[in-house]
Amino acid sequence: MDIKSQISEIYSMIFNETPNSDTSDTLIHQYKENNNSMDAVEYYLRGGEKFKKLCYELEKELDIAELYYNVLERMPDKEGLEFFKNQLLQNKKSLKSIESEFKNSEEFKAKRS
Amino acid sequence: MNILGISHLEPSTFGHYTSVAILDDDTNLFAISEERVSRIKNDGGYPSNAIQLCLNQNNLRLDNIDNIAVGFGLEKQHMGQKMEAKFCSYAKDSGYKKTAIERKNPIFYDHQYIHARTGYALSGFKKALIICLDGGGVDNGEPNSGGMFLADNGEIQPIKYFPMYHSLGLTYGAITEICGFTMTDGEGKTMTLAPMAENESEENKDKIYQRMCKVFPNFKGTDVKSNGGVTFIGKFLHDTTIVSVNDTRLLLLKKLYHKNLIAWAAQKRMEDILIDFVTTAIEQTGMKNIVFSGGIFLNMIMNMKIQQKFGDKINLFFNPLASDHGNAIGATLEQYYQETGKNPISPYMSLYLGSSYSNEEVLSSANRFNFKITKVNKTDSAIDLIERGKVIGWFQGRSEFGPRGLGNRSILSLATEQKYKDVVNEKVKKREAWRPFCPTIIEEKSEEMLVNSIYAPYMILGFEMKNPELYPAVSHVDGTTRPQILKKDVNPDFYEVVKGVGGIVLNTSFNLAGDPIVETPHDALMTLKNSEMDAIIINDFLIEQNK
Repeated sequence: MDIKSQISEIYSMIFNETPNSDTSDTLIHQYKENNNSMDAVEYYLRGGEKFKKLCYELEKELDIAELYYNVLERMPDKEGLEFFKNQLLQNKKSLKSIESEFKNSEEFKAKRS
Repeated sequence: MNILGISHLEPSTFGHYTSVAILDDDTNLFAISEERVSRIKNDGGYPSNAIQLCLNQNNLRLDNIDNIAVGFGLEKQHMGQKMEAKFCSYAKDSGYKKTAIERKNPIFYDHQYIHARTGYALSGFKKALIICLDGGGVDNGEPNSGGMFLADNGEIQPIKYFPMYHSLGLTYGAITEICGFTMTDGEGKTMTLAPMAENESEENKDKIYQRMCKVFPNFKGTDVKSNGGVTFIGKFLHDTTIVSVNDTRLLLLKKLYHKNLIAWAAQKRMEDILIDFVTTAIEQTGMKNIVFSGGIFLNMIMNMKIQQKFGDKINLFFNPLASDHGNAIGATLEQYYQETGKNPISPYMSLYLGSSYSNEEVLSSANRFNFKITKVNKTDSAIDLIERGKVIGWFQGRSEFGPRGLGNRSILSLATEQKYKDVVNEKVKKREAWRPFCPTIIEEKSEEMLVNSIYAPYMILGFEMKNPELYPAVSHVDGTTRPQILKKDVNPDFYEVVKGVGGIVLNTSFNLAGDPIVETPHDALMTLKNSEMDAIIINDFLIEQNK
């Protein structure tokens, strides 16, 4: 795989989109400036504003995913994960209240019984 | 009594390391993995090549085999119907049951139990607690991910098993995939990647560690509670199943953190779980001898942490045949024990259990290549070449059983300069530049070089180096190393070579990245041809590229 494709792969893995040509050029420059290090490209991306914004959302999504695995002992369904993540992001519910909701659910009770 | 032991499970997504062993009338042991003969790394297929080689090398025919023992975990009397149906369905398709092997009525032993037998037999302990943890197996017809056993005077009794969905091995394997490596093959890479996160912020380390605690099975001592387990997805492709991780938490962690941090957190969590586990196990059983077996214990750095924590109070033995290939030997040992009540192997036995090749066979292979062949004094030649900064292949006697080159199928170079690590990684092994190499250290030098040195002949136990800067080719970024400590009587020729170059040498298994360790002279010669290695010494012959 050539350098551009490798950089594009890292970018897509983090942001779920392909980099535009300006971003791509900047990242190739980073790569060359840092002794041809792909790690340096990844750290550069992770240090940017775009990643910081994404991080907040991903952390909330991870909070919900953990509740699914640790309380309901299963992988989250896509709709549920999206729904509860948005509840958190929009400050409609706290993580604690969602956890209580999970623990009061029929699914949880059925599992315990 | 000739016993043929097999470790093999098919069709299984996780079938790997198929291996066979023969324990003959005189309790001589021969063992080899199918990968060494088929040349497919981690080959999990039916071991027809390995069985044939085993029989040939021992001048036996299948008729001469008195018992066949299978050590993968399909114990016949207690086997669950589902497992039986699955195995028999495969057996019918593959010809397993159609062969003469079926007519021998093979005995199927339990998986963790055989891990326990292998480690216990090698440890030499009379009374011991045995802790087995791995990806998964079947005991008493039930899938599990490990077990605890008490052994006394040969008898091994299970204390408890751990459910399959609390598998430490599968969890670490899933994280290995997330780090970009291959599960059941790349776990060692995850382990060596972990210290690369040393410069990450404490805040990031703390955050990901808290997350990782929720991914790993929820162990408290030797008890474990469910957290749903890591989740995978299987895709059928032709006649095999490709498994990939679809665990939501791990996929999100991959987006959030660099793989170095993920590896660091996984390694730390494993170590913390095991330290707590062993502490509790000691309290519960009061045992002074502990044996560790199962694939988890290929993690040399975790083993080092366990050794550092408990080694001054408790006798610990880390089974070098910890992963599933070792169960071929374990099955023969169990069968022998059932027949005689005895253990046929000695503590810390050598692992040179494969084939050897005569000078005639070496010449016959070498003459097919355009190489320069010279008859030499092998140890003098090796010392001279290594001291002159050359990277050489060293091929002598019987091949090693298991994943390490221990001085019979090894690539050697000086340990004293970083450039040798770089050359071996880039031009010889053709693998990632950051990956460290192991040294072989002669026993007399081990205290001088290692912190809290103990006899460790198998490259299964890590140590901190006293002066890692003196041996940069075999020290990792955290100052640790994973040595083979060599006694003269274990391998006199190799000992002479290591002693001749200062008592320490870089020793990595004789193979290119992605290949199994070389078995035959032909395999070694092909490796010379396909790499930038300077020379190889096979038996008494120095073989070099014609320039």
